[in-house]
Parts: sequence; structure tokens; C-alpha cells
Amino acid sequence: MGWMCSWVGVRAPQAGVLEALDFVRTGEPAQPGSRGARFSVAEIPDGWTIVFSEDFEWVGRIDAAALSALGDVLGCKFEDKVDMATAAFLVRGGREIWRVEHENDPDRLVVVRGDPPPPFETLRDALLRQQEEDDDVDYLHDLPLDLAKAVCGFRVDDDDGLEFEAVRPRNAPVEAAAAAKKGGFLARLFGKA
Amino acid sequence: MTDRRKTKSAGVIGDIDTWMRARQAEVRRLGRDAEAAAHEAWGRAARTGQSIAASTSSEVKQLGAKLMQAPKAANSGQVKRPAVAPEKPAHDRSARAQILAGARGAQDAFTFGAGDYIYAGARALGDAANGENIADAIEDRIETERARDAFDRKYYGSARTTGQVVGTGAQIALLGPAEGLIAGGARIPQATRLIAREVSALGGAGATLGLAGQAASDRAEGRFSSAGDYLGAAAGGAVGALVGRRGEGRLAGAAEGATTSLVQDLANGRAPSLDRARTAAGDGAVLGAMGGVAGRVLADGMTMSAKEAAGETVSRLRTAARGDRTLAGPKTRQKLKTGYTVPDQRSVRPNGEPGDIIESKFGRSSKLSHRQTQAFEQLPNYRVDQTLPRDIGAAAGLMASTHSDRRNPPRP
Repeated sequence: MGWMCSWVGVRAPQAGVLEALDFVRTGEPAQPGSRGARFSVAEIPDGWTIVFSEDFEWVGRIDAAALSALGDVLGCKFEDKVDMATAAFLVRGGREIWRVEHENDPDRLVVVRGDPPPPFETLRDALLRQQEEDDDVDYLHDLPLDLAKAVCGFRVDDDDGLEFEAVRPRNAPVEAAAAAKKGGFLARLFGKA
Repeated sequence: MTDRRKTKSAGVIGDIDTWMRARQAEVRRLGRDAEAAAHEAWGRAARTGQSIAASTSSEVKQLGAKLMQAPKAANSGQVKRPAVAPEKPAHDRSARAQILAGARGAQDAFTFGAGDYIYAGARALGDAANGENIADAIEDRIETERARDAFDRKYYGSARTTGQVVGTGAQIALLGPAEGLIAGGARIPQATRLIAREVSALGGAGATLGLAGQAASDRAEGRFSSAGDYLGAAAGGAVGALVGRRGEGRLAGAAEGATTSLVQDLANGRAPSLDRARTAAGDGAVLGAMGGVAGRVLADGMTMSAKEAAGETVSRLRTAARGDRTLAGPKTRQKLKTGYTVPDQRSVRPNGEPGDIIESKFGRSSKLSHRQTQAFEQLPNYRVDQTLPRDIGAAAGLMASTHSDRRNPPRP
């Protein structure tokens, strides 16, 4: 798939999370990764609220420390189109507890800060073994994603039936639905119609 | 000043100096013809085993002046012309002479002619150490080298041309590591290869680039090139684009330059000039390498979102080249045996049937993830498009080569 996205999970009810992030619900369904909606939200039965963004850098811009006042904050960013960059981190009580990052770069295959939770070593070792067996695939790309799933139960490309709803920043204008129209050759060539 | 002259009386030395200065002035006026005449006589004498009183560059030039002013007198004076059959060649045709001419040609081509100047300068320093005026010595030596080149062209043409081709080839080969200073990246094994339609489209794009370059050159120089010139430019651009698939701007530029030159000659009713083609290949390789490096640097310096957009644009172009249409609208999920994938694009065949499921990648570090590998294995129409910095470099190199100002086809 062509992902270049990020999401944040907060161990708190959805209403409070959206309020803290200054988002409002739209009532429209959304599919993460489709770029149909810039932001979307879903609640996981375990008590986590997931806010998904089509912006790879978004999770790095939010004030996770402030957000952690509501509960544990798990951040995740991932792309599989350029550098195969993935990252996951946990913030608790205003402080980053751990961070695990990966890029398809010999110097940045697995970068760890802090003390990741127990599944980390098992996951890392298994993926390293797979990587050694087949270097044509970036198995280590999954490490932060699998670790995040181990913590909050969410991985965006798992077919778990989770339904997302589009949300928007409170101050952002509501985008009017545009009537579908056929464009010329160049417009269709560049995906504008 | 030579030892022989030093042994003479002061008066005689003064006369000789005056005479030499006058002769050298005459030779400079007479220019290269004198040099050629001198070398011709020198070669003739060498073949016949006759001695010739001209052991230094200056003395050869003096001989040349005398030959041009009074050839009968010169022949009866310093050079004893033996009775030789008219059909016998007037130069050394030995393998050694041919090899040396080839080596000089290779050196000329490899150094863009600078080697002659360097050699002349070094010899002039020696002349100056022997008492000659340094400026005059440099000019004399340069003219000697030019005369030698003219001699080689006349009598060792094939050897010289062969050497020049070798020299240009070495030039092009040496540009490879230079262009490779910026890593171009390696294609992942899962990347989808170009089909025949895409290759044709690539050639067409190159031809268009060649035509645009020729038109730009005409506009800049205020002239109209012939239809044959444009045909050559199109052919060169097409060949350059196809060679550029290797991801090396220098090769794309070299191929474009040589092809343009040769086809322009043919299309304009001229005998194809290997020398012009070789020169054009060398120039194209240098420009292509420069463009290649610039393109790779540009690709590396792009933001991640710009790289994403570039990769997806290339995918759209590939889809169009294949004769398909890119589906508009948001991305949609593609279910797999485990989980799902969200491809970057989907295409539609001309008959409306579903086309490819496309994953666009950009950059040296891009690979398939585990989930993408599952898609690759499970979906028969899963297409992986990977654009590398070397692709951008080759395109930039071809653009530089086709838009250079070297497009000056000879006028009949």
C-alpha cells in the first residue's frame, strides 16, 4: 500500500480526546489511507481513541505531553514509499517513555530510546531473522507498527472491521462537496479528474 | 643557443642570431604551411635515410621557411633528394609510426586538445633553458604540435581517428565514477520492468526533447536548421532516452551526441563524419554527466512529500504510456488473505476492464514492506513502479545534452 500517514492513540474517551485536539466530528465515514478525509477517528474497545491523519508529520506536531493528561499517548508514523520510515512512541505523565524508529538505512535500521515494553525484543528478534533470510523485503519496517499494536491493539492495515469517522479541526472550513466532472487529458493524467 | 653556434666568433654568432630571428619571423608569418612543409621534408628524409640539418624545433621551422621561399634551392642545399620512385610513400608507414599517431590522437581527444598545449609548454621550457625567448618558444612549440596534428591527419588518418575514438571512449568511461559520486540507487527486484509500449513512448519523449533542443538552438542563434538537422536531433534524442534507461547521464548524452551528428550528416546528404560524431559524443557525455549529477542531487534534496508526488507522477506517466488510464478519486482498500493494502493508484484498460494495482516508490531506500510483498505475491496485476535518483539524473543529463549550444551542423 502507499502509506504516508500518522496517528495518535489516547487511552481516554473519544469526546475528551477530540476536545483536547480541537477537532469536531463530521458524521461522515472515512477510510484511513484513502486520503478521502485529512483526519478521522475511531474508538477501540480497549478504551483507546485513535485519531488518524493522512499527514506523515502530523503526530510530531501535536503536544503529546499535554495530551497525556487524559491518559497514555501512543504515537505512530509510517510511510512505505520513500525511506520506509516508521516510528512509535509512548508519552505518559508528560514525559516520553520510549521511542522506536526504523528507516531503510544501515545506520537507522532500529533506533531505540528509553525502555520499550516487553514484546519489543521478541518482535525485533523475529523480524531481524526474517530480514537476514530475505533482504529484498523490509521486514523491520513492521517493528514500530507491531509494537504499537501490542500496546493498544490497533494496526491500520489489519482488517479488524474498525470503523472510522471523518473529523476536522474546529476552525477549518467545511469543504463543499464538489460535483464530479470529467477533466481533459492532462487533468486525468495527473489524477485531477 | 646551440653549442655549434657558440663555437663561432662573436660576429658570426651575431649574424646567425639576426638571421635566425629573421627566419623565425618569416615562419611565423608563413604559419602552419611552413611547419607542414618542414615535417614533410623531415619525413621524406627519415624514410630515405638522408640527414637533415634541423635538430631543434627552431631549425625545423627555418627549414620550412626556406622550403616555402625557395624549394628548389632548399632541396639542392640542405636536403639531398634521392632518386625515388614516384609511387613510394613520403612518410614512415611502419607500425610504430601508426601507433604513435594513434596515441597522439588519443591524447588529443582525451584532453580536449589541452594535451598539445601542455606538451608544447613543457618543451618550450626546455627551449627557454637553451636560450630561446620563452614566449616565442611556446608559440613555436604550439605551432609544431599543430603541424604534427596536420601531418598525422594527412598521413596517418585512420590511426589518428582510431586513437581519437579510444581517447573519447576513455573520457566517457572516466566520467562514470564522477557521475557515480552521487549514488543513483539500485532497482528492487520486484520493480516492474518497462513493456514495449513504454519503451516506445520513452523513445518518443526523447525524440521530442531532441527536437526541442534543436529548435532552442536555432532560436538562440537566429537561424533555421534543415529538416535533416531536425531529423538527426530527433533520432539522437530517441537513442539517448533509450540508452538513459541505464540511469547514466553520460551514456545518454554520448549516445545522443553521436547519433545526432551521424544522422544529421546522412539526412543532409553528407558523408558521415566519424570525427564530428566522436566529438559530439564526448561533448554529450560531459554535459550528460553534469546533468546526471545535478539530477541526482535534486532528487536527493526533495522533501518526502515531493518525492511521493514525483513517484506517483511517474506512475501516471507509465500508465498512460501503457495505453491505460489512471483511475481518479480517493484511494481504496485492496483486501488480501491477511489484512489489506491501499495501493497508490489503479488503472483501467482502454476497454474499461480493471488494469493494474500500482504501488509508487521513490528513492534509493524504498523497498517492499511485508504487507506489500503479500500483495505482490497474491495480486497478479500488482505493479511496482520505483523511481530512483539515477533516473532523474539520466533525464537531466539528456536534457543538458540535447539543449547544449554545440548544435552547429556544418553548412554544405
